[in-house]
Amino acid sequence: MACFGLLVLPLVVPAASETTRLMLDDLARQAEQPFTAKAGHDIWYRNVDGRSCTSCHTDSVFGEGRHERTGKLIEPMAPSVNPQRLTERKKINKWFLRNCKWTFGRECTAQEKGDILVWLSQQ
Amino acid sequence: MPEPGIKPETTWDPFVRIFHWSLVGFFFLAYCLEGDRLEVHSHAGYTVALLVVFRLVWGVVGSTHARFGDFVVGPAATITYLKQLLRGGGRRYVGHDPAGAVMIWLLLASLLITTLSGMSLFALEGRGPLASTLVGSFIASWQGALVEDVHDFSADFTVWLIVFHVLGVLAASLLRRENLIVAMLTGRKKP
Amino acid sequence: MNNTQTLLGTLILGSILTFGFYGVFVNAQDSETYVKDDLYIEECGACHLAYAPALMPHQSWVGIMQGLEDHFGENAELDAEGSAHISKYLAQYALGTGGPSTMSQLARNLPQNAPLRVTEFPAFLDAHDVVKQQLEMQEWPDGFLSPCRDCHHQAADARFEKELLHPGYGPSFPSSPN
Repeated sequence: MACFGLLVLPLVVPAASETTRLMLDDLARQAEQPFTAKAGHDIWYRNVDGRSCTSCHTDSVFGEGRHERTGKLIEPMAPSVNPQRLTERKKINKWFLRNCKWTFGRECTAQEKGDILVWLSQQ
Repeated sequence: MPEPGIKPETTWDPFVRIFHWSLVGFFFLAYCLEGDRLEVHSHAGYTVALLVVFRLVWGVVGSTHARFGDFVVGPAATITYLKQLLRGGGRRYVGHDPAGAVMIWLLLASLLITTLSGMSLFALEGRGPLASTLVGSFIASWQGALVEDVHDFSADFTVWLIVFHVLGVLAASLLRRENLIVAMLTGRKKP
Repeated sequence: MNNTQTLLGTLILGSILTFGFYGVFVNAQDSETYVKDDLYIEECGACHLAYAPALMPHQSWVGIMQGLEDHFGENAELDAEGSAHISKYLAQYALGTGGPSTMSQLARNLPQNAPLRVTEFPAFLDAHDVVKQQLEMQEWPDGFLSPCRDCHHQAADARFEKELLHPGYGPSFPSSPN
């Protein structure tokens, strides 16, 4: 069964790659430097006043997360585990808006968004 | 006072009878629905209240045996009659006897309290006929839980009254050897 | 019984019964199903139970929608389109503008400036006073009553009737997702 999944994966992951690619193209126009996965990883794990992406998404993007206050289960963020991730532009932007503001007290810059997307799309 | 020279066709005129059975129908509709289907429940409740008002009006302007004057005999005579009844005696009344009269007052009062408390609950929610009235603003300070208790209790109390009413009608039917239930349907009683 | 009495009786009793039967018939036609909105459930049910609009009056919902940036400590912002759509849905089905009967009592003793949380409504607190005693709690711990589904398993369908509560109600399973 898992074997079958691997066969299907190349069909699904390109969808995520496609959306990501288009978004990165747009973001690159507003960013100062080329995006790197390392930078994205660092932003994801950064702790600001006790808040971090990991507060809800936990230390591993391959596992389930849970809402810090309500306990609501959050599907894994890694596209390799959850092919639905990074396929809808509107959804990505929505959560960037809400979660950057909650975590960092401000919206993420185009640079930060690009770095995060590059890193996340590789997970 | 009945018009001179005009005999009542039946003991219970059609309006008394229709009123009686409509009341049964609408009351039990409201009671069985309880808090579900609130629109239907409350509408049935309003109808019960209006029917009670009708009976009060009819008790003043209605036919002979429908009028309160026909069966209100005062507390002393009522107690005497009740004592006689318990011993299997007491005179026969064509219309309501004093025992029946007591039940009527209790039922009307209980139904009024039930319907008014229900309307008060609605008023607390900002809806229903009492909501935007002077009465409504007076009610606004009452505790919802308390009013609900009154509504629930009086509804149940009414059901108990009905149980006793039915038992009483059956007992009286046996005692007087006439079917009082059929009488309330056809209107005819032995003169 | 003379003609006047007959006329009076027919008019009054006739109108009452017409009112009664017609009204009962008409009202019986209305279904009381909870009208769901997909966008509302997706956006407002992402972190917690998508609370049925009929749980709060329109005013409370306006308050919620205006404060999405700081939604009880979280950021729940929506884009303009989503916000407009959801605001319209909430306005249409809020408490008092027609909804399932079970909610109606939530409006009792509600102040003009209704709270933004149904768990703070007087009628809500009244209704759950019984539960408080059963669970031997002195005070509600913060957020205790937010997991409605712990006891009201059909909360997502806006069904809160007492008859649907499972026996011995109280949190019945550990770590239930909100």
